[in-house]
Amino acid sequence: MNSLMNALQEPFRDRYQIQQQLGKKAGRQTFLAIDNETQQPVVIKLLSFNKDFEWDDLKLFEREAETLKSLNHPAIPCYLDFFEVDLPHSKGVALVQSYIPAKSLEAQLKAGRRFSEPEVKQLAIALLEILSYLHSQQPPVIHRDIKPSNILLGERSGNFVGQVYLVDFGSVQTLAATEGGTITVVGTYGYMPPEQFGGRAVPASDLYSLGATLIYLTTGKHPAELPQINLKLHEPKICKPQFLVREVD
Amino acid sequence: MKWIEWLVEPSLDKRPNSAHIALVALKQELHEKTALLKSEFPLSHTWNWLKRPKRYLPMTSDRIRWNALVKTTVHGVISGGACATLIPLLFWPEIGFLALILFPFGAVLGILMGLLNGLLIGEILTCYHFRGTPPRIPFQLKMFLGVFSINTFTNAIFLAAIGLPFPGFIAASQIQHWTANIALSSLMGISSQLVAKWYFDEL
Repeated sequence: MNSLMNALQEPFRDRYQIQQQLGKKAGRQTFLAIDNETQQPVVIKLLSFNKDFEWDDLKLFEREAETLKSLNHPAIPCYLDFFEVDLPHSKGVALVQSYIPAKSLEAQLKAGRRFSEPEVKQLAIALLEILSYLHSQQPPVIHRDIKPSNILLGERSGNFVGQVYLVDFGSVQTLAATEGGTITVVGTYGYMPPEQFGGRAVPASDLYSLGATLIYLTTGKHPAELPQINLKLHEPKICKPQFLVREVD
Repeated sequence: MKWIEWLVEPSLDKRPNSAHIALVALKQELHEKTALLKSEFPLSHTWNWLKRPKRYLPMTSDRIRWNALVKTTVHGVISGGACATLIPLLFWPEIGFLALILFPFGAVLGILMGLLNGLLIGEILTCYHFRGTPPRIPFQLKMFLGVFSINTFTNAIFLAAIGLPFPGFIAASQIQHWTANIALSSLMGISSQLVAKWYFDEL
């Protein structure tokens, strides 16, 4: 890992100077970098073809790049660049996208922030507008991994909850992609609707994940911790009386 | 929020079909304000309402009208009775406790005042509540509405209670009349602020 970090001291393509690591998943790393040409901060996602590499990863990675390239929405990061890189022990591909200076809902919840009902509604409207945009693409773009850590929220001002952004299109599926070929099951446990476990994601699958996210915001509990009756998430009664849930049967 | 439950329906058939449909439904819900507001407690619980946990019930126009009517009527009885007791005391302080005899007469007039006031307040609140305006009404406007409506009715009852039985009285003692009126209006102003806050806490 040190050799990788050392290698990253040199700017990618003589242009992108790595500043710090933002995140890390198996085979995938995210960095904050400065674009030397524009002097703007950018996000670089790096997929390395190391021993953990699977072809599905590359498929999703390329799909993320293609999707971002095709989208143009103020609440979604902009595609900037895509190129191959030589790493110390392997090769890899890098996706460069615009940096959004905002914290994730997950980070804000963990820092102790709580959301009032009007704030949750503002968030819901903002996210539904983004989803509406994604689903209206031809073919529809399904995010498949909507959860608090993939939603960024800018500074609050007055009654306005803050600017909402949706990031990480690394699980995205276009409906055309399901027509043939293999099915890739992606998503995050707790936020995934039942149909997505079977690899069948439709635009309404994102709505389920959004609903689970909103429940997390109102209750502060991870959806996987919530009681489920007939597979249906139930908000615990003690949390907020106005969100009382009708018992099933 | 039933609306969130709709999103997490395990069955695709029961979930909204698209983000657009869900968005329209949420905006509709915000607009119609079937939203849940703090409900009022029955009058018999007035004295221990502080101790009771807040309940949340859907606010309907009937509920708003009924709450307004009940509260203003109670207020009317108290302030009408107080008017009838205090005004004679201002002019004839020597009658002392005998002035209390007049309390019931004022209270009866106060019922009328309270009912009329309640109808007015109920309509104003319903209008605000269901017209889809943002629920945050400026504090000053709340106070103005509360003070204005109560004072108008207080003055009306003052004139009715004193002016009708003794038409010559008001003409003969202009200064005393207005002094008494202003004193009472101020007194009512304070209580009406409390009542106004009471009404508008519902919004």
